[in-house]
Amino acid sequence: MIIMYLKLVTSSIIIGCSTFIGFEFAKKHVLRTRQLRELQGALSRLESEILHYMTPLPEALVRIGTTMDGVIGDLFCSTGQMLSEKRNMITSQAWRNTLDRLKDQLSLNEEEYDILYRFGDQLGGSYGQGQSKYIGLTLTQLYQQEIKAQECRQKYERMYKSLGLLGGIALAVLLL
Amino acid sequence: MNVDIIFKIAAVGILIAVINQVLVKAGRDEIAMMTTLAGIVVVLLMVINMINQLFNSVKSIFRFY
Repeated sequence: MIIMYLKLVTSSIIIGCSTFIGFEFAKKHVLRTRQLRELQGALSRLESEILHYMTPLPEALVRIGTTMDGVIGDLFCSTGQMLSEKRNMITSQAWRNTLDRLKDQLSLNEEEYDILYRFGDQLGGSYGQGQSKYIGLTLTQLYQQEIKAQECRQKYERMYKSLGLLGGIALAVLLL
Repeated sequence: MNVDIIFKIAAVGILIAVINQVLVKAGRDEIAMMTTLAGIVVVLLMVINMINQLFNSVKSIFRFY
């Protein structure tokens, strides 16, 4: 009798754990779309800060970063802080450093990192109008990536969730 | 004679079928195929001892030694 209960408990632990793993995998897709959307919001705010308010770049980055929570806010905030603390640092270098540091917290893919790196490379490299043009370009690229991510999410979020549950049940049946 | 192996095989079959459907719907046909193969292998591993017993008893009944 007690072995029966033991089996029941261990099987439910196995099923619970694998369901959790499935949800973790699905979360990656959810986070990717959310971060892409946050990035777009932050970039369009940066554009208006540069064009209309003429804020200096470090200050603008910190201001945007502090109003956003999550890892995107962190990205902007620490780039701005790095720029204002180390005077001799180039903007693209600071952006690249922060992006590399936050890479394991961001759930974007290679293509999107590439877009962000290229955005950082020209950040602070020209005057207002040119900056705004490049930000617009980055925004359209990010928008396309967001559409792709949305498709991916619709496809795989459900799949990972049900695969986690089903794999757990299969494992429990096999070990029973 | 224990019957729970039959239930176990049935459960594995149902689960593999559902996983297969989920994967096919998500457009991963090749992995769906792989899971089907893995299911077959697992079930074969489950019953291989019994098949061995069956062969041995057939051999001993008909004196094939």
